[in-house]
Amino acid sequence: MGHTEMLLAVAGLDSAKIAERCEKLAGEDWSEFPPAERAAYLFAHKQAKTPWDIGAADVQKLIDQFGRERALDVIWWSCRCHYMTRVADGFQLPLERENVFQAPKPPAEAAEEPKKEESK
Amino acid sequence: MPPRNPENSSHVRSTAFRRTPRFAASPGCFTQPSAGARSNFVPPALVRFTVAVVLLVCTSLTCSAPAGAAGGEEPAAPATRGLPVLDDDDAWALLPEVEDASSRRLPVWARALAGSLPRTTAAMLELDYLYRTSDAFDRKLRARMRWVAARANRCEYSRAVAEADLLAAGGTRQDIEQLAAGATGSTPLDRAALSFARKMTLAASTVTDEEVSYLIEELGERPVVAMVLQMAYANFQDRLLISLGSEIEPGGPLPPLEVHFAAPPPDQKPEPAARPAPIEPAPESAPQKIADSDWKSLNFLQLQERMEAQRSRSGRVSVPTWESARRELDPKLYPPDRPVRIKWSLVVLGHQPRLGPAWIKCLRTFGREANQDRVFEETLFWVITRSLQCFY
Repeated sequence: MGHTEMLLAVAGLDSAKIAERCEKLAGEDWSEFPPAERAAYLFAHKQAKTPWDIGAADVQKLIDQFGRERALDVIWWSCRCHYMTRVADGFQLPLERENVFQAPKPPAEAAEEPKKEESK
Repeated sequence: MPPRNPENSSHVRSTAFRRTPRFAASPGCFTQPSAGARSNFVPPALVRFTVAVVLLVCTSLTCSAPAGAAGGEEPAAPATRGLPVLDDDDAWALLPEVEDASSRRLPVWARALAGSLPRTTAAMLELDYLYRTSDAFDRKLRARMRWVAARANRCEYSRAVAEADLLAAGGTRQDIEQLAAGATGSTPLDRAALSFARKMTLAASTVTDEEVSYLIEELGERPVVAMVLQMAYANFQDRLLISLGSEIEPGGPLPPLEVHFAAPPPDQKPEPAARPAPIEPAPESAPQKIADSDWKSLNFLQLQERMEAQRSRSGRVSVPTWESARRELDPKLYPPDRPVRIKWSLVVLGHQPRLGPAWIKCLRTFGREANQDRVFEETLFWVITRSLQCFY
């Protein structure tokens, strides 16, 4: 699990849902995502590869789907990801094995974990 | 960073912002309000509410009416990329309470964002000042690296600002001409740093361990962490500026704006900003397929393998412990009993306790203010990491 998957888990998806979502994204057919989301992902992809090609028409497509304020949120977030990827690529830190974005489980709950696993 | 001087006449003290959200002083001549202005005190919350209502009405009108429908009148505020840009007074009126500011002129990007993301804009203004004035490594080299990133991203706004910052740091017109002519640096360190800036911008995943190791050998770990953060900020900022269609301000790039916003009272939990849905359905649906021949070069399993490889590799910089990282941090923002476990956070907080927390403050502020769907946000992040082959 990478950081984006860890954060999807924090957002409430379980492992199966995360894998399903990422597998769909990794393919070229995004038809199962709602139109607004597709517009945002396509914008993000273009902005990642050729930021200089982003023009008024690209922004307008987001505005059409999200409204002005939300479109600006999408743009801000998409730009924000480029800070994060440069940090990741610059430092090349080893990925954590546990989900460090989730609060550590209380000791009592952590102690119960092996029992839960065994009972499956 | 230049020392803050509250007696400096170019600085604006909090009373001016609190009591006179609309400025009487002319641009570039920013002074305390007159007694008459003070008597016209308007509570800032009322001003913010009024400006927000006016903006909302204007936005609704321009969204629902075709261009020129209102008798061919020009809008009061210029719009860039379909997004309104406020004037300085209206933008300041929406921003949080100011304690101190070096100028009344706001950069255009702040005026474009203040309407819908005022708290985030405030955090970004503080961030921008820190990054533009940082002396975590040689200031001239910092400005030149920023110039290289701006040129790689083809962001004219940032290029002009980087040139201004280079001159302010003691650089010369000749330095700028050399950069523009494609000079790659006069010393091995110079060449390595400028090459690093370009690669971090255009293909960060191809930066090698050796390239970073050389920079650390020459400069030390902390300055190189600052270099990475500067390039990270450049790639965030350039994309934002290009997306907003920001053009350099009349009269040339503005100097770094030193501004400090008052922290909200501890018992005040800011509400998420209002987000009206589009008035009309989108005229066309988004494509259902991604048109990129490279996209399918790695399938899902291969992507998982790349990520697994990332777990067992060695990092390029040391990861401070929470105990050492938190020493220079504000305990109100980073409570000692809530240790940070994320490695990159420990690196940026521990090695750059000014640049790192300023960015994290922006993230936290935006998260609360925009309050987007988290699954959507992280899915979009996934698309970007895949687009850049960043397996993290």
